[in-house]
Amino acid sequence: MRELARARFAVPWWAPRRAGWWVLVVASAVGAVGVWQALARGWRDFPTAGITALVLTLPLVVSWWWLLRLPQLWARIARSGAFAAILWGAVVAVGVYALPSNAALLTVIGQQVGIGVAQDWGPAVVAPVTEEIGKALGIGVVVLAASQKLRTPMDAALLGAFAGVGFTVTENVLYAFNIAYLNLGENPVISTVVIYFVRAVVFGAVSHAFFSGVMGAGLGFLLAGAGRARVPYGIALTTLGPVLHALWNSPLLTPWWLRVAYVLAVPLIVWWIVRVVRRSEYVWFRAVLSAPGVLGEIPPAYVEAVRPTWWQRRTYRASVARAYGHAAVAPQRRLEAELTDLADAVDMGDERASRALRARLEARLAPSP
Amino acid sequence: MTRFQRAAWLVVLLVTLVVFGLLVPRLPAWGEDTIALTTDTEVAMATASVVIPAGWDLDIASSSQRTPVASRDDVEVTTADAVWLGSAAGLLANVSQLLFDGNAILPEVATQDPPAAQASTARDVWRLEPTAGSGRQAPARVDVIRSGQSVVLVMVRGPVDDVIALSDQIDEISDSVRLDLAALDVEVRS
Repeated sequence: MRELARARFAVPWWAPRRAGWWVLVVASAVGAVGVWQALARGWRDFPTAGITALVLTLPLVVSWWWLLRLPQLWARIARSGAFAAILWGAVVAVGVYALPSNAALLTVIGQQVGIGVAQDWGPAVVAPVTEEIGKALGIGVVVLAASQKLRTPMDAALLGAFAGVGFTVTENVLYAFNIAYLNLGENPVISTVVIYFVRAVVFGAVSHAFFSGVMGAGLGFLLAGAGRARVPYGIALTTLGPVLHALWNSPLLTPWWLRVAYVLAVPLIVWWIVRVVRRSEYVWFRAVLSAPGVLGEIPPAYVEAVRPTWWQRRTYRASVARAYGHAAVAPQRRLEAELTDLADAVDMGDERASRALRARLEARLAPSP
Repeated sequence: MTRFQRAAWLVVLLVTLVVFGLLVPRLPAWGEDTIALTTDTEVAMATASVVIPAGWDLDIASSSQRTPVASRDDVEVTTADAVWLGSAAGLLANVSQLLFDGNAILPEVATQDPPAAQASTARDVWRLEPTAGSGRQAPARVDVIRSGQSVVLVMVRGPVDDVIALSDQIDEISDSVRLDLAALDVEVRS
């Protein structure tokens, strides 16, 4: 929601007093070395594939950035926070968590169970563990570096998804080099474009952003959820992300029609999760603003005017436009944003911002004495 | 965020960074690097397979990632699969460039050299060998096996005398390569 003035999880460029900031910086440096070591040979042998991959990365990141803005109804993730999560996913989750551990664990399966099992089931068993844990910890590092708590499961889902976008960025470049080797460098530009098209468009829904967004929502429920469903939802979603990843990597989906069915199921799963997470965001909003004194002189009826979902708000605004004319829609949007900002300021303990927002809303909405 | 939550996140981050970055990568050192084969063993690649004869050692790490590597004495044989849509001459030139920095003795290619998409699925085998200008890291020999668009490279590294002594067994490995993509009908428009 573009009217929101407050942004969540802004990570300062320089914050040496925060341990999380140091973890982000040092781990990113180490991860970047690991990623560079993995990519260096490909860059040397197929620079055209690398350059093509970088060119294609830009629209990929812009598309995901735009897509991940859509669910930001009750919170706006600060650019620096999103960038930090993407950086973590791109270099730390890949270079520290995934690359060294994936190869090692595949070898361990080959040693202990058999090479055939490692070849067939290794990617389904290993990658969901190393990669999902790596990406999910992007949530923790941003929370620490920004020195802010998670407010709702959506906060964690969005940060997890941004970390997933970063992971996808690096993994796609690796795939571009792999496919160039598989083609023995026959046409690196075409092979890179094809692999990006397949991964980002044909199977775009089944992405790292999806898996880590699901797991992030689960962690968000466990850490910041409300109500009795908090733990069951938390456990279910935290498990669901890696399980979906494992299923996608497993030989169980070898028949093409099962892959198609999986891809078609993804939007339904996303819709269900957003619905569940939205409910908890609304519960948070109502709970914060119902605390004594938070609203001041603002009539509670205005809180009722902030509807829980994007669709319900659209319908409500349409009814406002019918009753008071189209000019009333902009003030309605402003009201929704300012009350959400007020809830955020109160929950974050930002007294100064709370007072300013409350005073502004009271001046406009409180009944005259 | 409470001090406890902050400390918990920090501990989890540091512990997992150490576990995944330092400890897990060392786990393979606790097991064997290779399997000493007592029988001929078929090993899969992504789009092909190869039989490694008894008496050779099979590298577990690379074979688990579908790139079988076998060794005996000081000779190492790596098999890797690939896809090639163009002509045989182009294929050999690219393999020479990738593995010998362009300094390989290339075999004669038939004058009729259609792109792979139009070529028959008959099995072609070419052998590339290093020239004096090839680097030290260059293989002692590379067998390029193609059927249709499916390609397998059998790369042999080691002292020349040892490679010659084992050449019959290496030929056996090359002969055992089965290309599973050969039957695919992929058409490329230029």
